[in-house]
Amino acid sequence: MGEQGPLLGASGISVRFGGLQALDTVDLQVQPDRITGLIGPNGAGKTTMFNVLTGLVAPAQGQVVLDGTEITGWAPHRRARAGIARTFQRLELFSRMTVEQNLLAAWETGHRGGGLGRGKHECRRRVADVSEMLGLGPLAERLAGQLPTGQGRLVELGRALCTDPRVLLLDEPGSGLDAAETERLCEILERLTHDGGADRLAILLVEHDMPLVMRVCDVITVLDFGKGIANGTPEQIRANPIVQAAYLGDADVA
Amino acid sequence: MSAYWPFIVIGIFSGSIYGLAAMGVVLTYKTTGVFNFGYGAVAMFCAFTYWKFHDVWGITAWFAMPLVLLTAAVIGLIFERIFRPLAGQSAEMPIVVSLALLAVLQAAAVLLYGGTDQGAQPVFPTSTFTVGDGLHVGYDQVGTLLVSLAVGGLLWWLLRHTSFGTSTRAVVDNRDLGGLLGINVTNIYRASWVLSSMFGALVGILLSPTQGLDINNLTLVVIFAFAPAVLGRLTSLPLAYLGALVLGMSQSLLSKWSSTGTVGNIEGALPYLALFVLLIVLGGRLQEVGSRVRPMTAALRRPVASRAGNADVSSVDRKLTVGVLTFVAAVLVPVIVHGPWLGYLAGGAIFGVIALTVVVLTGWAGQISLAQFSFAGIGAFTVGHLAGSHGHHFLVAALVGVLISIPLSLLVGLPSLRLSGLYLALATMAFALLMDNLVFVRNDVTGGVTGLTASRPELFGLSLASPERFYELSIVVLGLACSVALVVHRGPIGRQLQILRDSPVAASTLGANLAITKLAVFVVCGAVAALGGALLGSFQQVITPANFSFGISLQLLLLVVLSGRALIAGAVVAGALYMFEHLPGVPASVHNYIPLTIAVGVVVLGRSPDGLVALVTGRRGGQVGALFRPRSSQVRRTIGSRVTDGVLVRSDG
Repeated sequence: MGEQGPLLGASGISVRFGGLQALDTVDLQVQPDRITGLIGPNGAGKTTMFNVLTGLVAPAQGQVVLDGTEITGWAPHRRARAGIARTFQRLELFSRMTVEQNLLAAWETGHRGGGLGRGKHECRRRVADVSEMLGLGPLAERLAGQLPTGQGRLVELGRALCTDPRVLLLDEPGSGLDAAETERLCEILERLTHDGGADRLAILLVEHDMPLVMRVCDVITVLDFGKGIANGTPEQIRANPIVQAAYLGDADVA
Repeated sequence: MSAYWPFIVIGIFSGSIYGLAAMGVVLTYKTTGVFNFGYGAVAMFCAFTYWKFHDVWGITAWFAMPLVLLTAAVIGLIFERIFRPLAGQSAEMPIVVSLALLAVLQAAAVLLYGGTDQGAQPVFPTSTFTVGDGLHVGYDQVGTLLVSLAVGGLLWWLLRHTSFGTSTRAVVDNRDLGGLLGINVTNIYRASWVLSSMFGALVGILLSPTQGLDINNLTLVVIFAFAPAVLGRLTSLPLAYLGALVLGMSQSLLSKWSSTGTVGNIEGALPYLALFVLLIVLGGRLQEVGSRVRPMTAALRRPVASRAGNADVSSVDRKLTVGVLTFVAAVLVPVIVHGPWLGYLAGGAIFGVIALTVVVLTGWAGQISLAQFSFAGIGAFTVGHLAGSHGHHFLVAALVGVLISIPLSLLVGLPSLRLSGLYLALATMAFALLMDNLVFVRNDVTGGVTGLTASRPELFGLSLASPERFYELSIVVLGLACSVALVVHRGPIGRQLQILRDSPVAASTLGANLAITKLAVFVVCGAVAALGGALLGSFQQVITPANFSFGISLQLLLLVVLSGRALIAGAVVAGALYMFEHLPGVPASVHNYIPLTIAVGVVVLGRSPDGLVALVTGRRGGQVGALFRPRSSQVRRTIGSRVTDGVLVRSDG
């Protein structure tokens, strides 16, 4: 438990889709109590990396290690039970269920016993806490599929939190959010890692909103055409000429 | 060696027809993503049409054949029109609708053509010529092989060397991109449905002289082609054709050895066995065409239900009230209804218990099982043996039946549940047909056509011999089953099933083990069906294989979909409809149209998970109209509702 290694680490990950080298020997480390940014232009392989980490895509090469245990061959549900939770860039809500049911189902799925018997109270309490933190209370009875994107993203975040993860992977949580919602997201992310230190939660964040990334991330890894091109603090990344070149002309940086 | 040649000739002959059928199935699956379970019925219907034109009305073959092909083309266009709005709907929809179309064509054939076994005149002369030392080959066999090769070659040429072929392959590769490139995707779909139906017509016409013009038999014989189609992974035309030839020959050679009859109807069961084994062996390498292309626009196409699911507290209370009232009414029925009439009600209630397993499987878990009555049959025949012949207690016999069903449902479920719903549907169909042809035909298992007998049991000191007592037992069992289902549905397990349907990917990244959950549901539903079968068997007292065949499982599925596959009430309504269908004294003019009405009802109402119940309660009436509205306007509607929604939310906050 006391090791210095990352909570979630990936080394030498390569993925090919037909003729496309989606990821080429990428290394990535996610530390507890930190928000790690994963950025890069469109098509750089960020979502593919998420899929490799959560077990939806099997890498051709490389290893994924969670807290010292190799999990490269594990199925998605086994990784989730080991403490990896994620959100999706293209929303994957349980659209025909209410917001509250989405959260309940997440807790029940992520915990042994599934909310039967004694788990019931714990489940309700956790769901209420998460709803309150994310401001989902007023939406509890709404159908998830009918929410606008911004609120849908918050539900996905809440759902991931309800599994009580050790590592949280967020795929563009800021897109589709208005200014007030983005501000709220920043506060939530900072609260999750920095204030609630007892959780030792590690967050990996894919995001195109550069001000958001620069504000909340402690370290940033940059991908371009499937290769890791830089790694460092926000200041280092901002000053890195290779990163600037990769983003040149990309409207996202402005 | 020479002794085998006649069988090889027969095998090539039948194999080449299966080959045509396999190509027809693969063609529409490849282009449109719809696996046509009703393909055999298309072939059967066209064969009857040809028989009517040619044999009955005396139209010459040169006129009758184009007329039948035209009929087939029209059927193809109708199929295309029916399946078009189903793209992007939940995966079980096209399966259910194609099964319903099978039933529509079968029912229509009965009404139009009588449907009794007719002798059909062969298309080709049946005289033979001799090859080498005494091998007789029929001109019809040569003719069939040539037609099949020519048509197969024509299809290959169409797909490889014409602009139609290029467009088709573009659409197969990526439906949405094909559309963006300016290809009229709908026309491609139409063409493939028309071609596939015409293949079906040829298959039916070529098969009927040797197989006999029989509605069920012809439909099932074409299902023989499903195994080679799966061998070609539902996408390879040459592999499907080759597989069909191999299948035809193995079947023919097997018939040489198996004339002793020790292994049931082994050559008749071989294609189903092949289908079942192929599904197990190919396992994870099978992929659904639809699942590969759907995600691009799935978010837009997937309409979101407007009702607030089971969270709506008042609606739950209303459901409970309706349920309790129904139960009270059912308890009071014996005051008015007596004797044998109560017996029919009891039969309907037990049917409702088995129907409930279809609601859970299809409506909640999104899986299609065509073998629920095979599992019921396991329960029934176990009761027939243990309780009927050996005098054990009913409960012991029923328990043994349930225990026997578990390894069998594991066998069916294990390989196919890792895959999509289509392969489970195919595996359960193969299993049901195998049970029919290998197990239920055996005299030592089922007592043959006359079946086994069992007496009505005595439970806890109460004799259930009278219809009154049995009625009471059956409504208590149905009420219990519905209550358990309701509690389970509202709790964590119900949510697990719902999340697996709404987003399997998200569910797995939250820690849900898809395969185990689906398997558990399948096994439990198989066990409950076996229990229902045990009750049904001891109620009917005479247990015959015909009551537990694939056809009954199919009828059950259609009744449940019609009644409302997502609702517990749907199972009860399905039981009531089943009872009505078997009531004596219904005039023939009404009775003859019941199967057609049910099948058409499924095609029309099938998209609504609440079926007839929704019509009665007035919810989601728009579903029926939506079937005939073009898809583009539906997309616009969905987007529109979302935008309005956003505005509403903003004004709330």
